[in-house]
Amino acid sequence: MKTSIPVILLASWSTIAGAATPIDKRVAAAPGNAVRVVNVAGAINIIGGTQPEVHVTGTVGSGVERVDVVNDAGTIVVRVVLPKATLYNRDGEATLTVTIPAGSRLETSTVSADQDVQGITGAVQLSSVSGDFDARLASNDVQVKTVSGDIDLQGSGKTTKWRVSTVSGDVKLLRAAGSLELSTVSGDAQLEIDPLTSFRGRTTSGDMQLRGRVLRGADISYESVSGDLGIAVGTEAGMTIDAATFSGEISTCFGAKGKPTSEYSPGEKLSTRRGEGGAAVRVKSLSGDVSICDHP
Amino acid sequence: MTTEITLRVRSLAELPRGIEPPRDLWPAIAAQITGEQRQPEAQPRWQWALAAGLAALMIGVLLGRMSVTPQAELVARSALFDAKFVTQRNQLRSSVLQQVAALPLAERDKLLRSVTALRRAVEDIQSALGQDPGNALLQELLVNACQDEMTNLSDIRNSEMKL
Repeated sequence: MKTSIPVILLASWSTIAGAATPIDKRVAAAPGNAVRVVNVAGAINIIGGTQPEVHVTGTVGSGVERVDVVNDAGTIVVRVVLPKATLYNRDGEATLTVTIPAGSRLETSTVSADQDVQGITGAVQLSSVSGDFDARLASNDVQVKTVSGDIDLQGSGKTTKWRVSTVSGDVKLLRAAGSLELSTVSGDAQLEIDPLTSFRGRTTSGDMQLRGRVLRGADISYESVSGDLGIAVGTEAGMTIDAATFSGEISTCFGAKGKPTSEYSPGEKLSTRRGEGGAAVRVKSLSGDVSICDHP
Repeated sequence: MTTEITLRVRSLAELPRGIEPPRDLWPAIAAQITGEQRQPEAQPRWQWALAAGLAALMIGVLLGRMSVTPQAELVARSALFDAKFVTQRNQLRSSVLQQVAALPLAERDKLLRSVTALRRAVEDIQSALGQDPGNALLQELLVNACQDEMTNLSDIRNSEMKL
């Protein structure tokens, strides 16, 4: 039988590149255990389950040395290990589904791997360099940090302390309640928080849209250089507004307008009160436009 | 009866060479630096330069809020040109730009927009301060923009963007 050179080359490459290798590992875990998942490339899909174990399934590329699933002093660590140096650029991607006890404290770290997280009720800390996030959470403490990944979060309506930070990724947070600290450089943000107790937003050039309902005593503060802000929130007891821009415009849906800070500069300032003034809204911007409405 | 005295400055030579801050900030800064020197690996050098630059700028902000005087403007401006801070910021920018250049095209474009936005933010505020040097809002925004730029550049540099 005669075998052609391309077929031999292809067969050799298949051996080198290899097909994806399946993974199936389990480690016992108590509901109070912390779980840390580390992956470089590919994807991780984390699901809150009911069994007292961490169960890892999925596939890994030929460039992956191994997947560790170990109990490290009470923290269950799932780590995709790549060789320190390779002679050629092999497939270092791992696509994993990790089922953990729903009440676990979860910590993730990826480089380019996307993260999908569902049904976790314990504290969550997600980080990635460029991977995207898609998370549906019922936690009371959520922290998400990325450089360029997009962030898509959905709460359960439970009061949660949200902390989100991105450089260039966009942020979407829906069905959230509680407080939010959000910082972006150029990423835009679309936020729906009901009820909102506290919001601290800071951006360089990203635009933010905040909707929902604010409680009495809520504190909303926002600062931007050129990013625009739109607030449209119902209020439990009205709001006081203090907004100032150097060159941006300030407008409201209830007729109040920003007034020039001086006849020589384009800046505007608005200090006003709606209803009992129960929530405080403070806005500062260089050139961003500000729009405020006291209903969604 | 209160007498208001207005001094007109005709040349830079008439301005004082030094300005006393409202309180002596140095002991606290020195103590902090001494504390940090015991753990040099924990704190990058740029943070010291930034802290010194921002401390000077904060004095300007405080003075600017009390009264808009030529001295306050000079203090605020001097912080912008703190040579050590500017040098380290430029080094950090260069390092980040090299790092970003090695990324795939789409991600590189996204991050370059952010790096550019950070740089332009500081420049825009500086430019606005040139028009309105005593503006407390601008001074506060500038302090925060400088902090944001260094923090975000450091975050990018420290991220493991190898794949």
